Amino acid sequence: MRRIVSLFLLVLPLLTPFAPARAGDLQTVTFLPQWAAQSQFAGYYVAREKGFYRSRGLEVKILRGGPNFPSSELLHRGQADFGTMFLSTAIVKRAKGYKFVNIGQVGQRSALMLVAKKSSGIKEPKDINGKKVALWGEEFQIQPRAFFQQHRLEVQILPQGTTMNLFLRDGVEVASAMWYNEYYRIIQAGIDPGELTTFLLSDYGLKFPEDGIYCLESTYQKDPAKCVKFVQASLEGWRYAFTHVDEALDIVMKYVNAAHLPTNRVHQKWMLERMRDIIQPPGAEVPLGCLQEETYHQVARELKKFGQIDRIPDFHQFYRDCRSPHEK
Amino acid sequence: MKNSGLATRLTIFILASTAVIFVAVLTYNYYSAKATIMAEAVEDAQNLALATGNKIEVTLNGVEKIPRILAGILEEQPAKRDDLLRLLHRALAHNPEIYAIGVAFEPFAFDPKQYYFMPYVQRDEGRIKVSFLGSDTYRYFFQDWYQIPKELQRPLWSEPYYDEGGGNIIMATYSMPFFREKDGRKEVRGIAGADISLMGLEKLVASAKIYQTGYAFLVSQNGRILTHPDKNLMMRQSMFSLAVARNDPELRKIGREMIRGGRGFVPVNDFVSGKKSWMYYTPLGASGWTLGVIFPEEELFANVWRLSHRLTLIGVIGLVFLGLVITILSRSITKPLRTLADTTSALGHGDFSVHVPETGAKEIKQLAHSFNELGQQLTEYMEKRDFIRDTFGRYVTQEVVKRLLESEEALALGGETREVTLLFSDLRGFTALTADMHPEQVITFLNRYLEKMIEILLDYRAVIDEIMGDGILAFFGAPEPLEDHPARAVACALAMQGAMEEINALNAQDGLPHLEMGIAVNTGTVVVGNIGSEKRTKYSVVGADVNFASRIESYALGGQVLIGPSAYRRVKDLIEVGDITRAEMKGIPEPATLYEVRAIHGPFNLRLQERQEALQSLALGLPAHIYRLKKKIVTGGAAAAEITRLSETAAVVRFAGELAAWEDVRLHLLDEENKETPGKIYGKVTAVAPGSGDTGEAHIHFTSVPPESRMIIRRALGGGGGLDAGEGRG
Repeated sequence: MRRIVSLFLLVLPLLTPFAPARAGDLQTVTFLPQWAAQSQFAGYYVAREKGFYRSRGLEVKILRGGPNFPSSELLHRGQADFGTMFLSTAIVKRAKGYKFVNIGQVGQRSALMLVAKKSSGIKEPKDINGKKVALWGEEFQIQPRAFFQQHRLEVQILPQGTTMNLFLRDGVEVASAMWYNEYYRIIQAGIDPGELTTFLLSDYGLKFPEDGIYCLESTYQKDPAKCVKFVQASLEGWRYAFTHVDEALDIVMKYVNAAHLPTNRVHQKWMLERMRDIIQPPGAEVPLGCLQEETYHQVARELKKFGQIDRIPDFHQFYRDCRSPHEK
Repeated sequence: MKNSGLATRLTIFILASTAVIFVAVLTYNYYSAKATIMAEAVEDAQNLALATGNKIEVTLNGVEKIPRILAGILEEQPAKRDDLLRLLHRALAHNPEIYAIGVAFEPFAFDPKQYYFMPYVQRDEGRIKVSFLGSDTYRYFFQDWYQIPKELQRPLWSEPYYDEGGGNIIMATYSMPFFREKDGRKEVRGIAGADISLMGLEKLVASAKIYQTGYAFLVSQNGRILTHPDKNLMMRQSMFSLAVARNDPELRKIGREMIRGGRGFVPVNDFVSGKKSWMYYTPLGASGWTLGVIFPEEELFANVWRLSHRLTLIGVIGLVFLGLVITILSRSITKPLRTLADTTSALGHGDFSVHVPETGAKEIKQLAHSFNELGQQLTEYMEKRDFIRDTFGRYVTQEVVKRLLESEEALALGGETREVTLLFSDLRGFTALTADMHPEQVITFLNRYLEKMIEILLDYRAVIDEIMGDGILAFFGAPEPLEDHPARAVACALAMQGAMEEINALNAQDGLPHLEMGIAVNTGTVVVGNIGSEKRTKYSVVGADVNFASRIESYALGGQVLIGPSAYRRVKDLIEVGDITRAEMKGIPEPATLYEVRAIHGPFNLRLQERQEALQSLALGLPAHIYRLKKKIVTGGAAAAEITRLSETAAVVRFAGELAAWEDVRLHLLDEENKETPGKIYGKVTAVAPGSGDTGEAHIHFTSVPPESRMIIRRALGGGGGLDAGEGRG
């Protein structure tokens, strides 16, 4: 396999004048998805399995993510070359001095929501006041906290783990959920949609696009081409996944099974379909992977307003457009 | 055809009814059997589930004990590290069903200097391994088994999970929070937990025997499949994901019931095979898990279906057999009916002698008997009818009878105008001839003559209207039209004259007098029909031509056939005419021409015998006395006469006195002593001519000559005393 790829890479300069691949060598890079293996990262798995990375000279090692592996920490510590992160998280970190750069904004729409059971008496935001709310780690708390501030809610915040059991067992009244994942898990645990009250945070003005591909600024400066390749291959992976759903699901399930994760194809199918809604929202004109300055500033302003950041980091420092290839 | 109709009808009705009954019975049997089996299955399922469930609960209860005890101990007194470890070690050692025991403390709750403190003892290849968990990579506070009981402040079983350590072992943890008093409030100090591997439970559940393809399975509190014969389902699929994958909304509803801790017996489509099945589910104690038992309907009702199939087969065979029996039976019933039908047909065609065998079922025998009786009665009736007709026919012409019998209309009074030919015949001088005879003799004598004449008349298809003693009135051409009725009548008349010789021969044998007959035939339009009243009717003729025929008759001499002008016109080409006489009749202005017929040609072809009629002159006149007859009665006295010329049939007589033409006379021949001989000769004056003086000359035609007189005549004619054959008396 390696030999064939090497030969291919020898030929590559003749085929792709823009790809400055080092002859014979695959660059190994590590990629950390911000959570456990699922369709949320289908594009990357597909890109790896279908050889999109390799065709660009990258050997990608996909690390195992999860609540115990916050991607901002691992990126910061250099334990991963690339990672996914929420935009809001990245801005806050950047403002705090973490030298992250956004090399591709994959998610164009926020999927974060708060869910509550109607049986606990929560029908409107104000009903959340005084209740126990489970939130994930820092990255995932920015929007909810803004939401609480927005509605002047005093809540008791508990950390949320990888399962929804705390919520299902009524350990908390309100839980965090991603529309494409935990929400469906609640349904698949036997609760009908009609029995839930949901607060999709983007409906409350908190339109924070979420998943983006990040790396350290130094990583980019050292080898921008590498970043470009990674982003391009990843986007290609996403495009392929949306047009080859069954095949993409097969790939995702492979990673799922390897991690012994208690999920099934039905769930992953729901997730992949929601990812399409997030990454290629119907009617949206934003090109895949692009972070628009206006959007950036909108989010940053919100963060500043809610006191998450003191100053807004420079956009052009923050975002590096890796969609079209360019020289170092 | 009738036979198969009955058989078919019987077969259809009986088979249909039987089939309906059978189907009803079978259906009832099927459903009631199903219901019985279902009831039994529910019970079986319940028992099985309870049995298995109990075993599981026993195990689970055993596991629950340890954290509970630990929690109790830890609440009583703060433990020292080593004591705690020893306790844990011992607890694990004495509870082989438990895989690991751990106690996790809230931050700084055990040791104010330690954020994490979680001693953990677990089994490791026969030994017991001790470790201390809790780090930045394993923040146990946020693990479900810690966080949930802490927030709920009560013990509970965790949702089963895959062991992090590796392998595909599914684990579950029973967590018991233990508390401390702080600021007057009870707050969680830590969680004591026991881990178990679900492998033992899996084995237990898998060992439950449910028919051939039935099985038991476990479902978690989130509806997730914990154990299942299909390993692919374990931990990955839930009742709800299966409901989506199999597009079965019912399954989702059932799943919700199960996780709510419900108990029930419901129809489902098997998750894997999709086959129709029944599931019994029951909750398992405090764990929140549910035990489900699946019975494939195929197996559950296999017996019922088998039984039903067999019953159906038996039923079908039975029906076929029944059909055969009915067909045979109905055939045996209808066979005599068929015979009857055929026989009745023969009966209808007039064959009354038919007879059907009186066998078979009672009702059939009765029917056959009645039928035979009917045939017999019909035969008798027909015989009677024939008798009546024949008898009737003796008095009335067959043709008339036939007509009368055949048609009611023929009985209607009234007539029609028709052209017929009438025939009058009369014996000359019969009355006088038989005056001295005995009545029975007269009848015999007469009947001999009549028998023959009637036979001839009938042969020629005459309708005999009347027999007036020695006279006959008949007519031709009614009621059945006869085209050749004039010729027929003439021929008949000739035939009748021809038969006289035979009769006279017989008469001479018996010593009876010689008979002479005159016949008149006239064609004319008459009214013919039923004359009279309903009580007494005669098929007869009426009209002027009838009277005319009668008049002609009076001019007919013995042995003569006279026809009137109208008849002559019709047959003149066929006949040979003899004398033609112009007769003056009372009431008729013009004299009528009467023709004597001597023969008829054509199809009838008859000829009168020639008779010796040439008058011989007598050398010596034969003396005789003439008596004039008026209506056959002598009037006046005897007139002296002398026969001058003589033949066997006629004489020319000189007489004194008066005589008119066509007068009937009686002659007595005188013997040598001028005495009257007994023989009376009857005759008709055919011509009268005045003689000299008072005398006249008359031509007399004999109509009847007695044997003795005939002898005298013959002698006078010189025929010798030759005796006629059979002449008896002198």
